[in-house]
Amino acid sequence: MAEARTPETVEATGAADKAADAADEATMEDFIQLNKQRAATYGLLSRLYRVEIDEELLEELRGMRFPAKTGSDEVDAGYRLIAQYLSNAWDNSVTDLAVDYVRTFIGHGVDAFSAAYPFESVYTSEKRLLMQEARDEVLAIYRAAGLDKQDSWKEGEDHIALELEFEQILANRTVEALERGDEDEAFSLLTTQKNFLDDHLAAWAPMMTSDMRRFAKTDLYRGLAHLTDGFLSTDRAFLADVLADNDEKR
Amino acid sequence: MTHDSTKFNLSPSDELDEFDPLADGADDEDADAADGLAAAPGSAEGALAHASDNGRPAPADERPAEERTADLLASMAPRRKVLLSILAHCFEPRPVAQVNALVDELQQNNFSVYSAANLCALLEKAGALERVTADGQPADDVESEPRVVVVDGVEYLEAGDPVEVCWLATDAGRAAVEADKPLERLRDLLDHDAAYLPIYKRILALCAAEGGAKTPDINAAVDNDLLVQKPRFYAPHFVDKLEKCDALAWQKAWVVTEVGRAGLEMLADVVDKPANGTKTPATADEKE
Repeated sequence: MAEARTPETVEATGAADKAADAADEATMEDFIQLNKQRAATYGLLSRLYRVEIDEELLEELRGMRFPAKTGSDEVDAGYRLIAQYLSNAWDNSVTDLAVDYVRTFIGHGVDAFSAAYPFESVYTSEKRLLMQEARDEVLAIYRAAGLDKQDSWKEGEDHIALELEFEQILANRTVEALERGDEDEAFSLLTTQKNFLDDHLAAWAPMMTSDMRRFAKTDLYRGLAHLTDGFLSTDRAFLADVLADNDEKR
Repeated sequence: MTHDSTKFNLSPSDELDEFDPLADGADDEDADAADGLAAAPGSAEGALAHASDNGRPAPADERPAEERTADLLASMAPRRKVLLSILAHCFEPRPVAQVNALVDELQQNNFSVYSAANLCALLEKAGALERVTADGQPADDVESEPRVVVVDGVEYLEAGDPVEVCWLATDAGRAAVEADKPLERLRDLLDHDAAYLPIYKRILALCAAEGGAKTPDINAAVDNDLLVQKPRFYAPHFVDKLEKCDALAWQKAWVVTEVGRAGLEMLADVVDKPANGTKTPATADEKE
C-alpha cells in the first residue's frame, strides 16, 4: 500500500534515507573489515599449525599487537600466553619451538595417543587412523569450492592447517564479494563457512586442542590451543548471528 | 593483527570444472594407499622431543650431572670436541648468540645435523650447562612480562623486551673439560700402538706441512707400507685414532693441532724409514 507524503515528509525521509545509506555504508565497511580480520586470523592460525615457526615468523609475531580484552576468555588467555612466550624469546627459541612442535603434533608413540595429531581423521575414526572418511569429505568440499591441495603439500587434506586455510580463503572471497556489492554471493560463502565449521573444524578441533594442552610445553603452543578454541567458538557464534540476521531481513 | 598467509597450500584447480564432489572419494587411490598412523620424525628436533615424554611427566634422570655429562660425551663421540669446546668457552656467562657463532665456526668443516642450539640443549639436559643472565642469575628466575598498550581506547599486549640469556658451564661441565686430557690420550695411544710409531710420525709430519695433507696423499704414504700389511690397516684407521686424540683436525685438509705438534715432539726419536719403501701408486695399480 502506497503512503501519501507531504514535501516536508519527503525531505525528511530523504535525509533519513541518506543517513540510513551512510549508516549502511559504514556498517558494510565494518563488515568488510571484520571479514578481513577473520581471514587474517584464520591465516595466522593456519600458518602456526602448518609447520614449525621460523625466525621470520617469530620476528613477525614479536612485532604484533594482541588484543587484551576480546570478550572471549579463551582468546584472551591464548593471546596472553603467546605474548608471554614472545616476551621471553631468546636466540634458541626457534629450536625450542621446533622441538615442541614435534612433541605436540608428531609425538613418538605407536598407540595413536602420543600427540595432538592435527588431522580430523584421527579424531573422528574409530581406530584413530589417518586418511579416513573425514579426509574424503573435506577433499570433496575443497574441490566443490574449486580448490585442491598443492603438490608441495604432502600431508592429508584434513590437516587442521588446510581446514583453517579453507576458511581463510572463503573469508577472503566474502570480502571480495562484499566489495563488489554481491551480497548474495557473500552470504552464500558465509553459509559455507558456517557449515564447514559446524561439520568439520569445530567438531574435532577442541579434542585436538585439549591434547595440545597436555603435550605442549611452551606457552606459545599452549596459547595456540586456547586461541584456536576461543576463535573458532567466537567465529561460529558470529556466523550464526550474521546468517540469522540475514534470514530475518529476507 | 595483520598477518595473512600468502602461500596457500590450497589453490584454485583448473581441472575441477567437471568435478562432481558427490562422485568423488570411493575410487581415490591415494586414500587407500596412504592409510596409516602418523609418521615419526627423523630430525635432531625430533630426537630432542622424543627424549622427553608421552604427555606424562618423563621419569627424571636422577644420576649426578657428572655422570650424565660423561654419558653424553661418550654417546656423542663424534661431537665430543665441539661439546667440550662449548663448555670450555662458557666458564664465564657467554651470550647465546656468541656460543652459537662459536659452534658454527667449529662445525664449519664438519657438518652435523645438530645445530648449536641442539648441542647446548643436550648439555643443559645433562646438567653441564645452565641458562643464566649476564650477571650469572638463573635465567628462569627472571621473566619479562608483555607490555600493555592502549591504541584508540583498545588495550593490546605487545611482547616485552626479553632478558639477554647466556650459557654458563656448571661444576659438572667444568669438571668434564678439566678431565679431558687429549695429550695423555695421545701418549696412551702411542704407547699402545708402539709398533706403528713410524706410521703415526709420518702422518703427523705430512699434516704439519703448510696447508695440511689431503686424504689421498696420506693414503699413498701409508697404505703400501709393510707395517700395515699384516694385520691389514689403512691410513684412515690411524687418522681416526689421531683425530680422537685431538692431534689432527679436518679443515678441508688434515692439519695438526697443538696436541699433534706435541705428538711430533714425542716421536722425534722415531726413525721413519718406510719398511719396504712405500709402493708407488702405479705399483699398487699393477698389483690390483
